[in-house]
Amino acid sequence: MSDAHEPDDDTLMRAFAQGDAHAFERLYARHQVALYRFVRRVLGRQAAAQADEVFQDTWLRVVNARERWAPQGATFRTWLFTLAHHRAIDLLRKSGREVALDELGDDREPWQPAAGAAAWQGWPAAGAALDSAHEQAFWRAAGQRLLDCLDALPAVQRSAFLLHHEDGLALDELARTLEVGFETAKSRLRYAMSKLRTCMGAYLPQGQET
Amino acid sequence: MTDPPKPDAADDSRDAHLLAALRHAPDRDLAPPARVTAAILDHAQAAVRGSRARSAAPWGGWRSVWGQLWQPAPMAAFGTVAMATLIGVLWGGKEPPEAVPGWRPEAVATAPESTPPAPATPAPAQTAAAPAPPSVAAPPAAANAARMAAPPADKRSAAQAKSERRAEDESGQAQRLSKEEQRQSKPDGESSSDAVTTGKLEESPADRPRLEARKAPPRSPPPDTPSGQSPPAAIVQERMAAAPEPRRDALAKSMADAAAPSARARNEAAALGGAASTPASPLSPAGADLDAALGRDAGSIGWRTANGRQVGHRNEQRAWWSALASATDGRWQRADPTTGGAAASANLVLIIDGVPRGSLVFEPQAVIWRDANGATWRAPVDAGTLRDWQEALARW
Repeated sequence: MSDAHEPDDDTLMRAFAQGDAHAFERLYARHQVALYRFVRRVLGRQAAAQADEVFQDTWLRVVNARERWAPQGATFRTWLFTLAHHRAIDLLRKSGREVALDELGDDREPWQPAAGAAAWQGWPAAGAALDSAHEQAFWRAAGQRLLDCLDALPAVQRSAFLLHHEDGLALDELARTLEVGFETAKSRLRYAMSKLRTCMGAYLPQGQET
Repeated sequence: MTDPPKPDAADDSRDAHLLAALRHAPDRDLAPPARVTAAILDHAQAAVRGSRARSAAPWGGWRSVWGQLWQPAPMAAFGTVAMATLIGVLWGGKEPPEAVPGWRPEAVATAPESTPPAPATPAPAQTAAAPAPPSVAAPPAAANAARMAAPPADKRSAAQAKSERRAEDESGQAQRLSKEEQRQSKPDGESSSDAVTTGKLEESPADRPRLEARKAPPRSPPPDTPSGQSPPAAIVQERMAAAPEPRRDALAKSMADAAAPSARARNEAAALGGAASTPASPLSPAGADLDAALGRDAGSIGWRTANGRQVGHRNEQRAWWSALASATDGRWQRADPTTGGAAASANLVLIIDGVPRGSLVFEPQAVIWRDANGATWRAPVDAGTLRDWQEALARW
């Protein structure tokens, strides 16, 4: 994300707090795409029109909080995504699109696909290079399908999955970001992954065949 | 973020296939609209500029500290300390007044007053027959506050004197004269100054001249007005008589308000000087002559300064004369003709049609006016005002 000669996020944020507008521009350039994508995905297709608003409001909060900002154990990136997550969830709740957190409750075991790991047996290797146009088409279709499956998840599970997979938060960071306990965060993540696996496994083999 | 994180050994909860699908999702290269980016960056730059402006201000740091203090916790602590301090100061070692048996709110309002004013509208017969008792009932709280707020005339600042004079000008000089004559027509026991001596203060030797001056009979009205009032006062009385009842009350109140500082000043000046005061300004006749000469031929008016230089009556001189008349209004006292020294030592002589109309002498704390007939008057003026006048004279 940043090479050794680039100042880290915390350094840039401190410089911005001390009046260096250029430091903010570098921070913004560094995180704008990932944050915007995260906001769009958390909001889903139904609330995609508010993505710009949430994205802008998140950065304005960063600007306005610059003098009070302190790392306090979390990275700037974690803090940034936390702000965006809360803003997006607030908007979904206000708009009435947010559904119950978890239908089964956070303390129950999530449902697992009957096939288990077998669901991925027909898939190409996930970490392999895409050698053929066929594989590229497959993964593009898988990506689109994943977005569709994400839309079917409750927002908090969606957010947990995205923060963990897309933005690389560890479980403890995820718990801190979602402001829930570690187990709750872990449970939400497991539910999300279980549903996504089921959703993807039911579709992709067919897509692979096409 | 260009490189999605890869599942690591320590956190194997990431699904490689889902992660790969996520990396190839069609929205991967979505970017925020340019207008949103521009708005965010503009906001950031504006915020930085605002911070710099605040920091540039000498009190920027204090403002920041002040902002920190306006948090709930510091404010709560400060409020607690302030309340405790206030309570301690108010009732330190004593019971609250409400807890004291027999405490009444009136006791506060009728606290000992050294200079209670006279009743607002006393009946002349009653006051003439019955002199003021040794212990005067406490005045209304509002009147006390007004009296306490009013500084002594001889210690007033120039600004205060100007504001009072402005109020007097608005209601007219005649109103003051009328009020003064009404005051003088009352028996001595009614005046506010008498209230001082009839209050709880003991009569001291220093007070005797003042008391004797107060016991002197009221001055007779000027002979040129049959009704015993000066012409402007008569005009005011006519207006009051013609006005409707509510309007008359308001007019009388405004007259009383406007005349109060002047009357008070005269009372105090009389008490301090031990001489009889005069209601009319001795400058008025000269002023009337000045106005007449101005209407006739402004060139007929001149001023002769102490160094023998003669100047005309231009705007600068008119302003100076107006300031003199305003500042000394109500303060003139008849003085011995020898006061201020010989006429030749005058600081300034007013000449109309080639004839000296009057002269002015400046003393350290007063100004002396001697008219063409040799009648001499003295008005106390604060040193700062006198200095301003003399500096203005030096520029003529």
